[in-house]
Amino acid sequence: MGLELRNVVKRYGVQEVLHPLSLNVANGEFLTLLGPSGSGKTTVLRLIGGFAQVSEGHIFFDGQDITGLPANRRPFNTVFQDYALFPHMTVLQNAGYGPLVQRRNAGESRRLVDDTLEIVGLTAFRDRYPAQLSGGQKQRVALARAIICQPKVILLDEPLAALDATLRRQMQIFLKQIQRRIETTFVFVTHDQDEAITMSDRIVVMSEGRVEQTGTPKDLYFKPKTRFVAGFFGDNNLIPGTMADPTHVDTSLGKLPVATHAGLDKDAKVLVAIRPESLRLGKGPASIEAEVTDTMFGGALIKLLLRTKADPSITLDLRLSGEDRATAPAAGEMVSVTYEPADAVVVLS
Amino acid sequence: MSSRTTRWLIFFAVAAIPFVFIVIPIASFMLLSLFRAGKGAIIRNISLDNYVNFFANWTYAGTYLGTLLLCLQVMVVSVLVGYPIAWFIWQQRGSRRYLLLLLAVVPLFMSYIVKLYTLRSMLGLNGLVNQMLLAVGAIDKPSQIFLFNQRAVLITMVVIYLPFVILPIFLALERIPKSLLHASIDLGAGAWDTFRRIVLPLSLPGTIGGALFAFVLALGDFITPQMVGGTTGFTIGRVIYSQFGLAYDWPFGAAMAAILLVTSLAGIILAGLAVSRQRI
Repeated sequence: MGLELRNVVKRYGVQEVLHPLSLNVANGEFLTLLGPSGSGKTTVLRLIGGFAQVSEGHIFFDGQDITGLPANRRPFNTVFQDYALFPHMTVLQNAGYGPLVQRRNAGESRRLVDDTLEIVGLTAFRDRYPAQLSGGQKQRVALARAIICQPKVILLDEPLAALDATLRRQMQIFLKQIQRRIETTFVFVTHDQDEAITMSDRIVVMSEGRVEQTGTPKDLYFKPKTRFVAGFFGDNNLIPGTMADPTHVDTSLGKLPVATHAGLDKDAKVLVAIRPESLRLGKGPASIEAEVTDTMFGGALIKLLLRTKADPSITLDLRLSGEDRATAPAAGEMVSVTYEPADAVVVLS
Repeated sequence: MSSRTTRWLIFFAVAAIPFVFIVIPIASFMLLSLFRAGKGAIIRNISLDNYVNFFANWTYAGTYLGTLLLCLQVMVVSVLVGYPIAWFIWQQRGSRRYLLLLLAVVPLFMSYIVKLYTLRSMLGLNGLVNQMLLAVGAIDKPSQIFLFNQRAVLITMVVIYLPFVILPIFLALERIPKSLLHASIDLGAGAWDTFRRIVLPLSLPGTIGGALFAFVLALGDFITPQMVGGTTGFTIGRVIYSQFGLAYDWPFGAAMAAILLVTSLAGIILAGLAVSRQRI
């Protein structure tokens, strides 16, 4: 049950913007399509919404094939990137547009509008026009308009992109609260990793019209499978090498112990991904000798940039927090760096 | 010289051109309308007699009201014809859209007189319209109803002013963001609801602008009625023309022209109010 895309392909002319793609979204799930611009995430959303037609493949909802269903007959509503509020209608009329054109009876419409404006906290602004609202308020109107008809799925196309950082944080929390309250599936498109990590139940990382990896935010952060994913979420130290055995990788820094990774041939080209916060100063089962090239004070954290002595040299990024900040080495000093093998993830190169 | 003085000088230099060529002629015209025509001379006694005569004499006032009615008809018909054309062009994709738009406005580059003669021959006894109606068997013999009457003036004006109506409507349609149409469909609206509730209201300012063009242009047009109007297609423009060209009563002609100017201004102000009430 839920939404399913099966081997969906989208071409514009001869250009294939979406390679065969399959995707499942469970009912009530908050799923994020994450990727840089041009990765095809918005195309997926448009296909689900019915604003673009698939070139191949099928889209199912609750077991029914909806591939050929026009946008106005799909039980989905969209929050558009530029809000797309009707400028000649008040907040009330914008929110009530769905019930109006769906010919709901007047009493029911009024109740729906009142309830929805209450949920998004816009009751006091009901008679304003979009031009008289702030960015955050417009966003709420767009959301109200989309949720009012109790759609089965709500599609959100980078809805927070136009807001400033503070407002964005608030809206992230707000969206999440709304989603829990109305218990509706959200398919959310963004290029912002932080946004994806904080809001989603599951994230689909896309790149160049393909799915790179699908998983929970924790999975993607701690167990990236590809170089793209490892580099996309937060900072990561990527050390190139080849598989020696399932628990070791040969690199220019020596044989590094890693989290067990079966299923790769010996000598397969890989990257060892270690988070800056997983590196610490000192000796251990894995030790890397390096020179401090730069230190940056960042309040709670001190960021060290290191250059290994090995050839070719590799730049490492390391974070010191708490007590360690007092004894931070200065630039030019030689240090030993170590990590827990479980924190070193093997990623396909 | 201070920069303030320089700025004022530049302002006056620029303002002088419209002042000399627009404000002074209109003002002198207004003044002229308060004078009186004597025997081959203008008597410079200021009075409102010309205006009183105009409204007291049904020949003039009736023609004026008839002209107003005709111009309103021209306006309504050109919008009713022009809107669907603009909408159709707007619906097209890519280069076809701009080709059609260009075709729609090409008549603007042609001589007014040439267009009038063309229409006159098309509407005439052996013209295209009669030929076609004969060919399809709608009439038995060529009809006179298309030329030299009020109807001919209406048809001709609509055809001539159509580009002025199509263009602003098209521009208004094109300004509507596609996402609004998507949003409407997304919320379950069909094509008709989307048109009625989104497209039509949002294109209203352009439509009012186009209607205004048709109305004001028709109001000031005295050549079209002269060419295709015959005896029944008598408009206030023709009366004014005859006051200057035939009757040599310039002050009375000026008074009627002033009334026409005020009528146009009233139309423009009304349209302006209607547009500014739109919240876009």
